[in-house]
Amino acid sequence: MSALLEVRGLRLEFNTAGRSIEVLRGVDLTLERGGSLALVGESGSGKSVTAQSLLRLLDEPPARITAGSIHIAGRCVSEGPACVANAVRGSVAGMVFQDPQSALHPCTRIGAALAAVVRQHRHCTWREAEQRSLELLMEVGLDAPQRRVEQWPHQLSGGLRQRVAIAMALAGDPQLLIADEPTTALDATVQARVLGLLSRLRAQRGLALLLITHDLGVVAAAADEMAVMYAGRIVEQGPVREVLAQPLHPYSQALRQALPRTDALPRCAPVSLRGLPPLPEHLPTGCAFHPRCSHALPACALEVPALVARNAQHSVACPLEGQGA
Amino acid sequence: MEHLPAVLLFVLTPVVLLVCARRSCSARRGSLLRRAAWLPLTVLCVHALSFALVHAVPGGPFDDDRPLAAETRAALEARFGLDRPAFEQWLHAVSGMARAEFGPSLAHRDHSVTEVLVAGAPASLLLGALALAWTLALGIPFGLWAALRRGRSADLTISACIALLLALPTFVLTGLLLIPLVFWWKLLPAAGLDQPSAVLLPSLCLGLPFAAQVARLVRSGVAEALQGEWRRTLVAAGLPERAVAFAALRLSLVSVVAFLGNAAAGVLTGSLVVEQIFAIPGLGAHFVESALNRDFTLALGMVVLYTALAYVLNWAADLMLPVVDPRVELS
Repeated sequence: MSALLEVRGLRLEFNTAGRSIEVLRGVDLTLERGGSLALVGESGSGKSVTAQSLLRLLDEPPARITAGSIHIAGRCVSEGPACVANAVRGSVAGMVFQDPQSALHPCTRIGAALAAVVRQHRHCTWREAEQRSLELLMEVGLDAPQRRVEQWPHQLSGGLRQRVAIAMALAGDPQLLIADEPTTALDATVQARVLGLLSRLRAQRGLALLLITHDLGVVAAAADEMAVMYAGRIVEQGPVREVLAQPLHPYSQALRQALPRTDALPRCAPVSLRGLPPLPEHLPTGCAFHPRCSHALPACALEVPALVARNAQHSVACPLEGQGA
Repeated sequence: MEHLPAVLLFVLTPVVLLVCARRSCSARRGSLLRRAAWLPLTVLCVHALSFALVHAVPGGPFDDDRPLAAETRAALEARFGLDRPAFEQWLHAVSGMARAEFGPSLAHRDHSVTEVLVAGAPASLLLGALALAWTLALGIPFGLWAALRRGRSADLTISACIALLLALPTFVLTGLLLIPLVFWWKLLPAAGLDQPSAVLLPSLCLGLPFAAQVARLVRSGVAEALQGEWRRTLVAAGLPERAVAFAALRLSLVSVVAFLGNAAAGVLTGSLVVEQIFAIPGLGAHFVESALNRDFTLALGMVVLYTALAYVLNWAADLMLPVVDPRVELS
């Protein structure tokens, strides 16, 4: 049986004003049923674009998949027009977005919004769909769902809205939930509760989770596997514990060192990474990270390193494989 | 001062209602009452201003090509109360207005102004209501179509039609529709209101420019709404494009409803040309006639009727806003 989510060599470019800018340069991802994978990286590394391209949510044009393939539950969604993804949207893969303030239609009651999605995925009456909406709201931990279904989005707090958005993503009983920075716009306590909800849903539903974030704390709390993205490529992939404890790619090491530590004595201050991520239209040659890398060799500017497996689970796209550190 | 009660009624009703509104706990009911309170005051102000303007214009209702004998003229003026001071005439008019009486028409001397208005109102209201129906029935679908096909040929065609309809004067537009539909293909009757189908063409001519406005509002509203992030949520949840388009239309309706209040007033005053062309016995004709004839009473009756209608229709549109968009709070 094939993996739930399989992305192979995905390349994607944006065509604007006669120029084409490649933002994904060969992304490989694999997520098994019930697994959880965190995709981390700086802003502009292409993690959000990757997530949206999985359900073909980017406007095409300007976006265009130039190479590679995406298979979700065995269905190819990368070939043909964007509507081929309709076969998996909601029913196989649901998606939650960053900003709960604007993620819900402002003029639809919570209950009606949920019931519409329920009815899209199962043949039932409005009454049954409303009943199902109540169950979904209960499942995502909303108190007094009877009252909530009558409310408008602007009457709910950010955390509650994100829960409703999660309920909408789950209304078609998908096997995969893609969460694009689901907690970034929430404050810290609400963030912890939403992460707790995601873990509970994974356990109860056997849901697979693809979590996009730039917060390594969130990664440690919610995912088993992680993939580090830099300039449209995955530079390191492996189990969260291993990657966080022993990062092999200089970029992952820099991310790790940029975290404030409370366990180390004497306390070492976080070390910030010099420079800025490259713009997709001005990528350096060779390894895109080499101008910021403290271990860079002359060869790094010439050749793009491939993602090489170091052991069964852990792979890295750097010829040094952590030896430089 | 036998007119004092009427004047007091007009001035005090708003004040009393405003006080009630302030006391009422519900903001929504409060605003309803407040708007109701402003209606008589608004009508009174418009009436006073129009009265002053009408009487400031030189000439009078009994100026004719052949001058009347002095005593006949004096008798007529005495009969219609025109010999009294202007302020007293105004007080008399206001007290009549409180009883929905505007006195006898000075040009149609056998009829009261109320009779003239009641005779013309059904045709004009029917025409106006149908024109508004055309406005929505054509404006919303075409606006939506253009928005969903933005930048493609359907959008360009519709946008060109919108610009054309907004630019063409009503009489030209009417001619363009009238000649093929009535004279070449003989599909519709040319004039009058004798057959039910006769009202179709005049109401279409009246409604088309407003339909163009609505189409323009819907086109830009839907295009803007589709930029919202909720769209991704719906698409990712598996809802079809049709559902997304309707959700976007829903958001654009706010501006349409806000526009409808003005459109209703525009349809009422704009019916003049269409009623003339199609020989429809409505109110439109009285608008110009009463001013030219110095028919003070009829002119003021028209002013009051139209002010009240425009006010109530705008108010109704405002009341509809929270229904269309729950985020709008009445205040």
